[in-house]
Amino acid sequence: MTNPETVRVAVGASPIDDAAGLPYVDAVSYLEEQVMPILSARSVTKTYRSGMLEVQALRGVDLDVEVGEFVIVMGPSGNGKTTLLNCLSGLDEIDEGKVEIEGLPIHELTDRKRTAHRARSMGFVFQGYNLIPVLSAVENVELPLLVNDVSPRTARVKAAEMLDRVGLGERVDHRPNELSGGEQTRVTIARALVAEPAIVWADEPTGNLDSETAASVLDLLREVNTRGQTIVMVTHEGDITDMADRLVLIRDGQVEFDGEPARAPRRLEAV
Amino acid sequence: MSTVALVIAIVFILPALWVARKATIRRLAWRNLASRPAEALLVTAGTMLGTAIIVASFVVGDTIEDGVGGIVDTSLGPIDESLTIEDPFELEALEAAIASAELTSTDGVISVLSLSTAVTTVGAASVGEPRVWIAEIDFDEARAFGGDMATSGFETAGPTPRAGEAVVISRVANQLGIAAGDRIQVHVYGATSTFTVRQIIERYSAAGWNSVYVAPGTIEGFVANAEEGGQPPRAEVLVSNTGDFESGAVFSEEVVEQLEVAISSFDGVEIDLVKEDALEDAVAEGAEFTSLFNGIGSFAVIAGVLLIVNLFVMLAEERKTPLGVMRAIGFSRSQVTKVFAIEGAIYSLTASVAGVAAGVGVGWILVQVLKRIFLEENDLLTIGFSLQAESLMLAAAIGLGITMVTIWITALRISQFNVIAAIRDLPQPPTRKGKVRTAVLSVIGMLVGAGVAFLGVSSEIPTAAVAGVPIVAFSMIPLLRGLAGEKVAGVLAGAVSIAWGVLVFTLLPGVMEGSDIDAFVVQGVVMVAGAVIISASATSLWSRAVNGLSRAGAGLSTRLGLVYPLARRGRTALLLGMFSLVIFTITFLAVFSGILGQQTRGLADESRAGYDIIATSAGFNPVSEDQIGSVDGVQAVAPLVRSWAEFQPIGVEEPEVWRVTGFDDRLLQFGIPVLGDRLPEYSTDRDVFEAVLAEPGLIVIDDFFLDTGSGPGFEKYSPGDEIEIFTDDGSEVLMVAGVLASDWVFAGSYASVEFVNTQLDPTPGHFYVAVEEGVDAQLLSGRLNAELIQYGMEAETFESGVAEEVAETVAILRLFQGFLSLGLLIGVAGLSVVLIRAVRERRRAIGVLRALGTSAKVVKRSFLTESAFVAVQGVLIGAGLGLVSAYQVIVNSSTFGEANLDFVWPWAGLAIAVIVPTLAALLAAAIPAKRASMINPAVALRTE
Repeated sequence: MTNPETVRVAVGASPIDDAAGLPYVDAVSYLEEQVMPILSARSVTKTYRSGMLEVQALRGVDLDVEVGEFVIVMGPSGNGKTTLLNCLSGLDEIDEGKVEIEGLPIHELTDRKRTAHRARSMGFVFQGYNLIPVLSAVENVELPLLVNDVSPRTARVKAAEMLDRVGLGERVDHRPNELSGGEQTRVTIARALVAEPAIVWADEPTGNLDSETAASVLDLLREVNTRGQTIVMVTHEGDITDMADRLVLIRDGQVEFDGEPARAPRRLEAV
Repeated sequence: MSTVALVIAIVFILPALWVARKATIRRLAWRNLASRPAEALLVTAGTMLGTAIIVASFVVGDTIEDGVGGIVDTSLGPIDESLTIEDPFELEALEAAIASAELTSTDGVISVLSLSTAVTTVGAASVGEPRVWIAEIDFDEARAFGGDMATSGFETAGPTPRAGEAVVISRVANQLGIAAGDRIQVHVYGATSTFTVRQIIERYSAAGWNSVYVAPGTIEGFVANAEEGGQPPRAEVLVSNTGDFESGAVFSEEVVEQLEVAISSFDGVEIDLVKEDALEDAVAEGAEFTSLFNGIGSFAVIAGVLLIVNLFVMLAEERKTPLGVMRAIGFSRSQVTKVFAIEGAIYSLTASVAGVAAGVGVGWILVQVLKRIFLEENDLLTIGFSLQAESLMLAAAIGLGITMVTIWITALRISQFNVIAAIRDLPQPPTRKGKVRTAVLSVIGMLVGAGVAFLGVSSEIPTAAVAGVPIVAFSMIPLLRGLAGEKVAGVLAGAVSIAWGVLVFTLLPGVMEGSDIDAFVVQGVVMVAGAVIISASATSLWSRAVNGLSRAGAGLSTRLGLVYPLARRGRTALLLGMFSLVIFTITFLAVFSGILGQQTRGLADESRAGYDIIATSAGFNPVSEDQIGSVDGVQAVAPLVRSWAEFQPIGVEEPEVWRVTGFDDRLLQFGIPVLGDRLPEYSTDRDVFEAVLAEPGLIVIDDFFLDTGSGPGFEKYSPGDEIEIFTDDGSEVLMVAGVLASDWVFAGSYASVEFVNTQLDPTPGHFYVAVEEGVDAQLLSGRLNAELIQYGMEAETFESGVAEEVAETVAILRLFQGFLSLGLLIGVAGLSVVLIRAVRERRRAIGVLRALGTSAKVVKRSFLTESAFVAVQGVLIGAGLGLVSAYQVIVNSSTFGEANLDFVWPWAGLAIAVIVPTLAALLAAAIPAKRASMINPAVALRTE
């Protein structure tokens, strides 16, 4: 699945020279020589503590994701899927282990550098939409561009184009509470994709949708993936695993299966 | 008062207790509160400040009341009535007649002969006091007077002084810097006598009625050697009623009736109810200050109310979904209301109790400042720190009432939410019923406003006149919205309110003349409300501004900082109103204190008629015009006579005592006291004064004529008004020919010297003095005081006399400003509380922003921008309207008198009013901004 061309594009967009302290050209060459995965996680553990109660959400997870892969993460409810996504993307801290994205040890970066890296290289589709309620659809979508210092005028044009791509060209000025669930999900996806991030994290993007809307959302993600963007998607819907390149099954905070969806044990897939 | 407090408390607490009897309701309310203790604390703290302001106002009032009443402790003690007889030689007979009358409800009668004198120390560095009362009294009788030696004031005074001895009250001893064994000189009737100080005694009880005690026969000796012209000694019999210092006053009426019978055979006896008068003055002064502080404080209280409403609106927003779920599973509207109301009642009760404690603290600080202002000038005041349980209860009850009403209204409002809209956090859909209700309320509001305006104009009620038109304008908004759109409706109503607030004093001079503090409060509120409504309505303007700022590279933080306040206009308007109102008042007061502070010379010029020094000698030893004229540096002297007289304007029920200054044409040789208004038949101020000299039926009055209170809110008199004056021979009706522009030297009123001398009982010894060219008036006034001390000379330049008076007024204005800084504290604390709650409310949104790569710095800046947006608007609205309003009052109205005050930009005060709130607002946002920037995106996204 590895495509060196894609690696070059992805790395070129990252602040690797700033983050790793390497000159830009050297960093690109380094990655090209190594043919590194875009995501590499080793022995990742995460424990939630609340008073006397401790819940070990991740227990030594190892995972590599190549550039341009479409990975689906599945598992029973409460077994660490969302935690895995949050920890791998650097949104949440980890207790042990190491996560590298585009070769950068994401948890070892300062908050400022990690945030800047997230802005340039990642897009998120959160569980439950998570749109900013006081902003219109187009204002929500342009946020990642503004964060990346794109000029407001260009950002507005690009955001409107992206909304058009997801079929919401007529709804750009509507606030989230004026949109249906499916429309809100599409705004969320538009927001995740507008800055053309190297990797898109999607947490249950079809969880609240009817089957028809869910299918259109998945088509959209697939289309994005075919253009070379890496997608890591958490879902509990077993019947959509075939669209992914890889399936990762999580149980009790551990990777129970990692491979092609077709080879997944039926028992495990039916979570 | 405590009954009122009890009733208020019962009215608000009982319903809360009644609804709290249901365990489920009670439990739900408590869980809501207990689940977020930090936020509960914030809401309580915000609510507490409102009560604190009310309590502080009451504490100041009580303290002043007690302070003025301090005269009872320091100078009266058991003395309840004083009978003054014109002929001192009849004093003994008068005392005997009263003693033999066997008055009921009394426990002491004593005679005192006293005289006002000048006292100096003996030695190289002589120190003098120009006015000191010396007295003869039998110390043994004084100790028995009132029935309790311990509280007589003479307990430790020893035997009655012998010839050449003096017993001196501590206050005078301190002023002169003398101790027992020192010698003092008493100057009276043109002679000087020397005494040795035998003892210093405390100024306490009846001993404080006079200042220096000498041997019996001493004053008689002075009188025997007196030259002509001096005032005779004061011969009085003092009576003590039964009871303690204060309670004795209740018998005054009964005692006076008996006294009148007992003294019926004597001529020229005047009975003064000294205790009753002192206590009444104390109560009146205390009430006056309470009213002023409450009036000024009401701006801060309104700010507090806006904060409370804001907090509960936020709380309601936050609870909307769970309360919607409660409705969905079967809770009735009434039960939902109760859950919310009980939670609010707990905040309210806690805040009231805490507010009393905080208010007492604030009151204590205010009292310390008041002490510094008043005690320098007024040695009869004993400002301590007074707390009255009744006042505290009433203040707490008022705070509780305001909070509870706010809570119940908010609770009722959220109970009306559409269930689905509440659960899904959607905007409330408009209903036909709601529209009709709004239209009906709108019409009712307009009718009420029109009625209030009519009442205000027809009955000359300033508060109603100010409020009526804006009520109509605000009530029209819902109807106008349908016709012309929201923006036009809001802007129009807001503009009408502001214009009315600015112009009402000019448009309705007759109605607004004599406006009290409440009218200014209403004026401030309607203008600020108008400006806030305009700001809230001009959404497109703000949107354009936001886009413009973005295009100009102001960045994401600016955009994020403005988007929330613009999206939640109602809440922003409350916050803005709260902030603007306080800054409005601070600016308004800053203008006045600035103007007065900077225009001392101008104000002095209005009074001095071209003279430089105002000089007064004592009645016991009046100085002559020639004696003053012979002092080096004096160019000319205008002699004046002064008296007090009872005036009763035609149509007014009760007469008031006011000062009359008699003058002759010498007053007019260098200039004229400036008039603010005069009869149209006179073309110049000089013509008016010359007419007063020529026609005894004319008088010039000052701009605060017969105002015995303090501050605005009194009846003003104009040229052409007729005023009855009670003279020795009956009464006469005088016509007001002119009104002084200002009167900081308190001439009171000007009549011809002939009129005052023939109709009243004047005291001579008052002069306006002009200095020769090149002579320093300040130095000359000091020389007059030193050279003529034996005449009780008190001379000062007009400018320093005015400066002293102005300084006291400015100090009080500054104290009000200080008091209002408590309102600013409310504004800033409120902003902080609202932003802290906003961080919680927007936790998920902040998480999303952080996840999308928005840096912590941008999140932090966005909160600072939000705070600055409110603060800067508040400063612009508050300071702008404060300046406009003050300008209007100074230039176009006679509310603060006819003084020719120039509008001066109060740069220093303005800078403080602008910079401090802005910085404070940014500081207030610092903690919530920091909190927001530290939000962990993964945790925030998990937050429900």
